[in-house]
Order: sequence, then structure tokens, then C-alpha cells
Amino acid sequence: MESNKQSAFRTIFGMMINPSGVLKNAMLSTKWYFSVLVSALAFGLFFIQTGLDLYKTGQKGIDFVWLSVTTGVLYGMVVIPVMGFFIWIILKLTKSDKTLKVAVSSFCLSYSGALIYGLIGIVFSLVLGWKTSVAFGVTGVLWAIGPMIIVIREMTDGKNSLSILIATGMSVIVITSWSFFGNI
Amino acid sequence: MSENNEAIKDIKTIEKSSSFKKLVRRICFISFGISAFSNPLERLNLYNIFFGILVGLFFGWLFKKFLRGFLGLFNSKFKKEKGKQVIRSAVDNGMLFLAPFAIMVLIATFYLKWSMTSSFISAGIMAVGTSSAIEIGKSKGKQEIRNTIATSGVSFVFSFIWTLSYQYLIKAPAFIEGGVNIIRSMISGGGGIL
Repeated sequence: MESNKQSAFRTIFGMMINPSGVLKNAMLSTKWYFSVLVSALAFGLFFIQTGLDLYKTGQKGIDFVWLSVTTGVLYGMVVIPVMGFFIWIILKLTKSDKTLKVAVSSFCLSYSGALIYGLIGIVFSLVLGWKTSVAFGVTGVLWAIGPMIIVIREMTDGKNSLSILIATGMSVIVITSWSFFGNI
Repeated sequence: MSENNEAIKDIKTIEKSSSFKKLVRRICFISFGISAFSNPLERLNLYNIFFGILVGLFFGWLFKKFLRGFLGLFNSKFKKEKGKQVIRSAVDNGMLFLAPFAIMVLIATFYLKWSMTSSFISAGIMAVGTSSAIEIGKSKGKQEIRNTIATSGVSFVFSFIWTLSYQYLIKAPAFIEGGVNIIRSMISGGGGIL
């Protein structure tokens, strides 16, 4: 039990600091549902902060806060893995030998940084009453870009340009879709 | 012996800093500058745009120099053996990581109409630090924590400098515009100056 906890902790922080190392070592033993859980929690926390910000300013009611958290969890649980699936198809076209499970897991785990930012943000939002969706939420999603590029590069045997292109496209989709959700 | 040959082979395969990479880096810093100093009331204000370009280019140049300097300092033996090109190539490849952040900050500023740009720039600068350390590690054949600390340290300092100096520099375009307008009115004989 203890070793599992340590492993999860190391995987999440490792993905922020040394994504290529995690991809080579931890990814082999990381369960796919753990990776999906990371992205579901990351987006759940990101979206609930959006709901809380709008609730605090009186623009939305408490129902929107619940809608936000549900949408965020579903976004992390469904939309992000689906994006991972499309990335896997692109990687297959470039003759990558990585499996769908590894591709989706890696892509979901890229949002480890967003989860950490989300956890810190929700504390500041609930305890200190700050508006945190942009300062912590968006920053967390931006932090995911670096690991995502490295993960894709590792899976494409060092194709920098392709990695940057895919990571940019995915991040633009995430930020704009979130912006339209919150009408920010 | 074979290890040496492999290392030499690896060095030879390192991509040389191309003009394309330099162009990408400059465009990224120009994008940061234009977005950060963009006037929300007049997005196409030329004073803001030109000031943003100048600050972006200067900041990018300084960041590149410091990153190269510190990486060279922490890998002096490797640099002496393989030449400056290894450090230069690592930093140039690392700087490519700015591209997604530059595109996103342009979308955030000019499409989504956000005024918050520091998060994009800070995250981009930090990503460059991490990736430069990874690039030099690839050249050496092993990842070293001291390189990650050095590049992350430089990136953190520059991210902090940007955030801090931005609060003061954001006022500059309006002052420059005001000064130019006064000079113009003096030259044309108007402006009520006796």
C-alpha cells in the first residue's frame, strides 16, 4: 500500500520534472486508469475553480459550480483520452511502435502539473477566497505543454517539430474550449 | 574506446543551429513582447507593438546568453572537448519549446481578448529551461541533475525579471507616444507652446 502511494506520488511529480524518465520506467507499471484519474481530477479541479470564480462574482449560481466540476471530470475522463487516441493515430502514421494504452496514458499523465496546480488553487480559492481559475488553472494547463512535447518526442524517436505541433494544437483546443465554457 | 567513438558519433549527429531555429526563437520573443505590451483599448497601436518587439527581442537575446553561459559553466570540460556548438545547439533546440506558448499567447491576447500574458511567458521560459537541460543530457549520453538545476534556475530568474519589470515597462509606450506627440506639435508649430 505504502509503495503504491510512493509510486503514484513519484509518477505525478516525475511527469512534471522528468517526463522522459517516467515514460521509460514508470509508464510500464502505471495502470491506464490511474493516468485517466490524474487528468479527470486535474480538469475537475480546474473547472470547479472556474465555477467558483463566477459564483463569487455573482455571475453564476451554485448550480453552475456543480455543473463545472462534472464537466471538468468528464473532460479529463473522456475528451483528453479521446485526444490521446487521435495523437496515437498520428503517431502510428509516423511508424511509432507505442501502443494505444501507452499513448493515452502518457497524454493523460502530462496533466500531472495541472493536477498539482489545481490542488493548490482550490485551497487558495476555498480558504482565502481568491479567484484562482486563471492564475492556477490556466497556468497548470500551460505547464502540461512541456511534458506533452517531451512525451510525444520520446514516442516519435526525437521528432521535435511534430511534437511541438501536436502539443500546440491540443493545448489551443483545451484553452479555447475552456474559455467558451466559462465565457471568459 | 568504443564508448569514445559512440560519443563522437553522437556529437556529429547533433543538429547545427540553423537560421530557421534562430528565426523561430526571435518570432516567439516578438510574439511575447507584442502580446504583453498590447494596448487592450487599441490593439494595433504602433507604439505598443514596436516597444513590445524591442523588449521581446532584447529579453530573448539576454535569456539565450545567460542560458548558454550557465550551461557552458556547468559543463566546461564537455564544452572544451566538443566545442561551443554543443551548448549552442542544446539551447537552440530547447528554445523551440517556446513555439506553443507564443502561439497560445497570441490567441489569448488577440482572439480571446485576455490581458493576462505573464503565465504564458513564465511557463514558456521554464519549459525552455527543462528542455535545454534534457538536450545537453542527450548530447552527453546521460541526464544530470546539476544541468536541470542550472537551467531551471536561470529560467526562474528570467521569469521573475519579466514579471517584475513588466509592471514598470508597461507604462513606457504611453510615455513614448506622449513624447513623440509633443515633439511633433513643436515641429509643426502647434501645441500652444510659446
